[in-house]
Amino acid sequence: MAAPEPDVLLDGSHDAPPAVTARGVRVRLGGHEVLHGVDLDAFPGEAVAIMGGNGSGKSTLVRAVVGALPASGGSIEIFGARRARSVASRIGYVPQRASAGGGVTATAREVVQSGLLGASQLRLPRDSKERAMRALDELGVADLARRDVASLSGGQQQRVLIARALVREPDLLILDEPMAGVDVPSQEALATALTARRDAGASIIVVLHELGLLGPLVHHAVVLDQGCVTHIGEPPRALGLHALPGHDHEHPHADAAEPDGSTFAWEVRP
Amino acid sequence: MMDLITDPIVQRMMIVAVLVGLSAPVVGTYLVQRRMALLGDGIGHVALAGVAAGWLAGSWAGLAEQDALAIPGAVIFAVAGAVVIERLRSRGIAAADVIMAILFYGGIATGVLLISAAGGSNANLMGYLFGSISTVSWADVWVTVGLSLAILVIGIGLRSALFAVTHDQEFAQSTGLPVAALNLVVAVLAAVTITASMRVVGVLLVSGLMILPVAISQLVTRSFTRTMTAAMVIGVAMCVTGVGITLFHDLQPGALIVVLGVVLYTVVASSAGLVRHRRRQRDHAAISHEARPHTEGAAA
Repeated sequence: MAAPEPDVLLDGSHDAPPAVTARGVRVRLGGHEVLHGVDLDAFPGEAVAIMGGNGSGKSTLVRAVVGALPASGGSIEIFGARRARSVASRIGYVPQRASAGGGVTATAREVVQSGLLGASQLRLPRDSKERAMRALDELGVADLARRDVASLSGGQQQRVLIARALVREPDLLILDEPMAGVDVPSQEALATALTARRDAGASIIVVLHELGLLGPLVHHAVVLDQGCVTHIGEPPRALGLHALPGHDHEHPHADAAEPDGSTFAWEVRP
Repeated sequence: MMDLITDPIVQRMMIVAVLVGLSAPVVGTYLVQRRMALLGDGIGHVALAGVAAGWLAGSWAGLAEQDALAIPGAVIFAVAGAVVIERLRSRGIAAADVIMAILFYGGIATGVLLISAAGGSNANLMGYLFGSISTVSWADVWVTVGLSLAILVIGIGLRSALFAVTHDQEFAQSTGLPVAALNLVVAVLAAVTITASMRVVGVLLVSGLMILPVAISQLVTRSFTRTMTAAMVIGVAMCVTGVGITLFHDLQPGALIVVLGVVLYTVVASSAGLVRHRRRQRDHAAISHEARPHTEGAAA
């Protein structure tokens, strides 16, 4: 499941136009600037991980990209357009699970069907049920279609929310911490579904605390620390680093100890 | 019985009861979904100031019916109040709850003061606070028909989009849905529902008619669409039963409708709890039964 090279030319450039080009993005929240000029590029057939510790600005960056937060500076272009709304039909977004949910029960299928709506689509298309079922099936949760989403486990809920994004058949898939609080079988199902989408040519931006099972999917990583980019390039694990600055927790289970007893988790290279 | 059915007053009461019972839970479903079940209560307080302002305007204009402008006044004030509340909510203003409290209590206090200034009696005030369905005219019926139809057409016609926005606003924004406009639609629908329901249950109890049917429906349904549909049926049943009982007993219809809803909620919640408990016991017994032969076999 190693990441295949996207459409990269010999000189390192891409032959396809970028899905996302963000330059010097600044975002203010509650009167404070939390992103201080961040750059981000994502190309078709490529998966980019946005990494960093708590409060580093990972979620703020993707929320600005999808238009859920206004940028106070810099520029964000998605498929060449300056406003996310004009290309929204090509975007599939999976927000952090905590933001989903309401006071009235809703079935998994209803939640996935809502992913078929858009700027010029205020009512569900006729085949919305079939398309929702196909998306749920892709994530291996078709049998949960009639269940109340609030009664599902964390991993099952996450699969439903990803099915809601996939039902849009997006060219750009943006996921905010999709692995948080998710059991291993669900993580495997998510990794398989995302790999299939990337291989089909979709661009994927995924906010991660650690690479985990999505490691083989990721081409390169953007690491943030306190709203600034501290690293762009190979994912930390590929560099032999468990984490770069901004990663605020250790994983003694993840890396084998070096002969001298140290682990990569504490090694930081310039 | 035939006398009752052919009585125009009863006919008007029943038409209004059915329309309000049908439309109030539609909007109530979106408010519960957004966890703003008490919004209707607040807008109701503001609507009372509108009733009073309309009353005062009618009094100054020397209209034959002093309260002819009460409903238009309520619509204007309720919509304005709902828009202000929605703006506060969507901008995430820290002191929004305090501002809303000032708006709500300012609304009801202004309403009481203005009605007394316009020469209204305590009976008039009570009618708006707790409903006065027996006094509805055919003109009131037509206003209710218009408002209820608007609520039903928009509330049901835009159900998918309104569900998406009230379920997960951040995702809805990413899809390109006009989130701000749809949020405003929910707020204005709430304001119009309150005005339409005012004659039946009054501004103080209107939230009960919007929320109780949804709360009862939620106990027995799993899908959003079925919750809304069942809530509409329950809303009509509550209103028609309440109004029907007051034809034979001298009781306040608005209060009776809400009390009926509370009783129904208690009965359904208890029954649902009992069913779940029995199901768990049965499942437990089945597991024990399956496990026993192995245990006995092992012991042997």
